[in-house]
Amino acid sequence: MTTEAVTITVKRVAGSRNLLTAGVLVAICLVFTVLSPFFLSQANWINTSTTMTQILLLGIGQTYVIIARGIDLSAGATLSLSGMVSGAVMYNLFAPYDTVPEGTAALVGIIIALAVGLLVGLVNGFLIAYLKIPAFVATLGMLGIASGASYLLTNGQSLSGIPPIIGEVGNHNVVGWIPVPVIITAVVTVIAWYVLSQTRFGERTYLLGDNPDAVIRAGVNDRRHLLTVYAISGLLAGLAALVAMGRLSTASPTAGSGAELQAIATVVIGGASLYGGRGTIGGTVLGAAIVTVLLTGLIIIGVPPFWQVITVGIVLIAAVFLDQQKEIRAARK
Amino acid sequence: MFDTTARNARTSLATAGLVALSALVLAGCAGQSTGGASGGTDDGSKKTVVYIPGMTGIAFYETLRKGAADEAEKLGLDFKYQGATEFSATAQIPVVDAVCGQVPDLLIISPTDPAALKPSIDRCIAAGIPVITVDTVAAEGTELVSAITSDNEQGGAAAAEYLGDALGGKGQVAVVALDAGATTDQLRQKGFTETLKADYPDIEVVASEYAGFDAAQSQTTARSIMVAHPDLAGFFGIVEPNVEGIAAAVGSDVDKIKVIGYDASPSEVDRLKSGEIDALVVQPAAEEGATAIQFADAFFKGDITNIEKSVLLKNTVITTDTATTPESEALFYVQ
Repeated sequence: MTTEAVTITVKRVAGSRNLLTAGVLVAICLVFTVLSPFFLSQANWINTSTTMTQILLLGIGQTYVIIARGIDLSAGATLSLSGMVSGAVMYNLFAPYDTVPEGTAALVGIIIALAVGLLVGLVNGFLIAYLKIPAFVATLGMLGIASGASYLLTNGQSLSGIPPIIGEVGNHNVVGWIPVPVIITAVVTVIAWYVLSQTRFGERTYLLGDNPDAVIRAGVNDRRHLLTVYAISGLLAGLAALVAMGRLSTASPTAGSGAELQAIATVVIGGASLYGGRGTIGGTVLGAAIVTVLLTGLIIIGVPPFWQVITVGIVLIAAVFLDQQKEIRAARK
Repeated sequence: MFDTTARNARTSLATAGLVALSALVLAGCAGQSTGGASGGTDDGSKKTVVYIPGMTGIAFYETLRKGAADEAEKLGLDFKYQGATEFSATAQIPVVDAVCGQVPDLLIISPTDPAALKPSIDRCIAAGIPVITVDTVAAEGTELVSAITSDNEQGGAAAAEYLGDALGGKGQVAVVALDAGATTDQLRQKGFTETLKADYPDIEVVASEYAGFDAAQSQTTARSIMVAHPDLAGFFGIVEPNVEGIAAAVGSDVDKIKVIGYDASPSEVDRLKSGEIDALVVQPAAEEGATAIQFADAFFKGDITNIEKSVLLKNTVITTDTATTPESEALFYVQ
C-alpha cells in the first residue's frame, strides 16, 4: 500500500468509528442526565472539562506514540517530575516573590516544566529508537526513574509555595464557563489534529506503525521520527503538569500517579490499535470525554465506589468490542 | 555494510557507557544501603536499631524517624533507617529480608500489610532479632517486643467531633478516602461514621469516595461530590493527598464548607494556617518513634518492666485558631 492509500483508508474507517464512539458518549450523558438533575449543571461542566484536560493532554501524546506502534508508560510519572522540578525551582529561587515578580517566576516555571517533559521524552525516544530497547521496557524503567526522582526532590512533600498566579489562572473561567486549561488544551488539540492528519509528519507516523520497513525503504529517517514522537509525548506531559499545578495551586508528586493507564484507555476507547497504524485525535478526544464523564458522573449519580471502577472497566472492554465488530463487518463487505 | 558496522560500534559504545553508568548508580545506592544496617558488632557496646517505615518520603514517617533518631542519640544507640519508595508489601518485603540478613540488634517496622509481611517478620524473629512495630500492626500472634500505634479509630472520631461541633450538630458531610483495603483507612472511617451516628444524629454522610494517594484525583472527586450535593457543609480527607485535593476543590467556598484532614506535613500546615483547611487530626509521630527507641533501650538493658506490650497513642485536633501555639508547632511534622 502506498502512503496515500494508507492515509485514505485510515481516514475512511476512522470517520465511522468516531461516530460510534460519539454515540456511546451521548448515550452515557443521556443516562446521567436522567439520573441526576446536577449532571447538566455549570459546576459539573467546569469540573468535568477541567479534569478532562489533563487526561486528554496525556492522551494526545499517547495517540502519536501508539499510532507509531509504541507505548509510553512513563507519561504519568513524567507529569509528576515536570511539575515537581518546576515547582522546586520557582519556590527555591524566587519565593516569596517580592524581589522577582510572580509572573516572571511563573514563566520560568512554565519553561522548566515543558523542558523537563521534553527531556524525558527525548531520553525515552533515544532508548527506544537508537538503543532498540522495547518501548514497554524503556518507558516502564523511565516510570520508575521519573517517579522516584520526583519524590527525591522534596522528599515526597508537595509544594504549596508556588506563585499564586499559577493557581489563579489555572482556576479561572473565562466568561464564567470556559476554564483556562480547556482553552489551552483546545489549542493543543487542534494543532495535534492538524499535524497528524494534514502533514507529511502525520502520514509517516501512521506508516511507521503500519509498516516500519516501508518507511525505511522510502528513505525516511525512522529513528529520528520515532524520537520525535516520544518527545511530543514528553512535552505534552510537561504541559499536563502545568495544568495540574494550576488546578491544585500546588506542585504535587502524586499528581500524575496512574495517569498513563488512563491515557492509554482513552486512546484505545478512541479507536486506536495497540498494534500501531490506527488512531485519530478526534477519537482520543471522544475517548477522554467518555473516561472523564464516567469518572465524575458515576459519583454524581451516587454509584457505590467499587461499582464505579467495575463500570469503567466494562465500558472500556465494550467500546473496543463494538469497534472490532464494526471493523469485521466492514472487512466482510 | 559500513553503515551497520558503524551502527554496531555506536551501539557497543552506548552499551558500555550505560553499563558504566549503572555500575556507578548501583555503587552509590550500595554505599547508602550497606551503611543502613551494618550489624551490631562494629562498635563493642553500641547496639544497632534499624527502622523500616511503610514508605520513605512521607512527612509522617520522616517525623517518626526523627523522633526515633533523636531519642537514640540521647540513649547512645546506633539508629539506621531503610525503606522502599512506595507503600506496598511487595516493595517492603525485600527491604525487610535484606535488613534482617545483616542481623541488627533490634528491628522497628511499620508493616504495610500484616498478612503479607508475616513470613518476613517471623524469619527475623527466628534469626534472633527482636521486633517492635510502630504505626501499623503485624499479624496476630507475632511475637513482638511491643506494638506502638496511634489510635486511628480515635482520630476518625475526633474528626467527627470537630465537624459535628463546627456545624452545630446538623448538615451534610462527605469523605474523600484513600483505599478500601488499607486498615488505617477503614479504622479512620469507622471512628468517623460511628461517632457521627451516635453523637450527631442530624449529620448525614452523603458520600464516601475513594480517590487513592492522588491529589488531582481527590480534587475531581471532591468537586463531583460538591456538584451532587449543593448543600454540603463538611469534608473529611483520610490522607494528605485527599485533603490537598479537597482544599483545591473547595477553593473559594471555604466559608461554606468546613474541611478537616489528617496529618500535618509542612504543606498541610501552610494551608491550615491560611485557613484553606479548617482543622487537622495530627498523629504523635515523633512520640511513636521515641517510645519505640525507649523500649528498645529497656529491652537491651533487660529492663522488661518498662516495656508495654501494646501502646495506643492519642491524636490531637489542631485548628486554624490553635495552629500557632508552641504545643501545636511541636506536633507538626518535619520534612
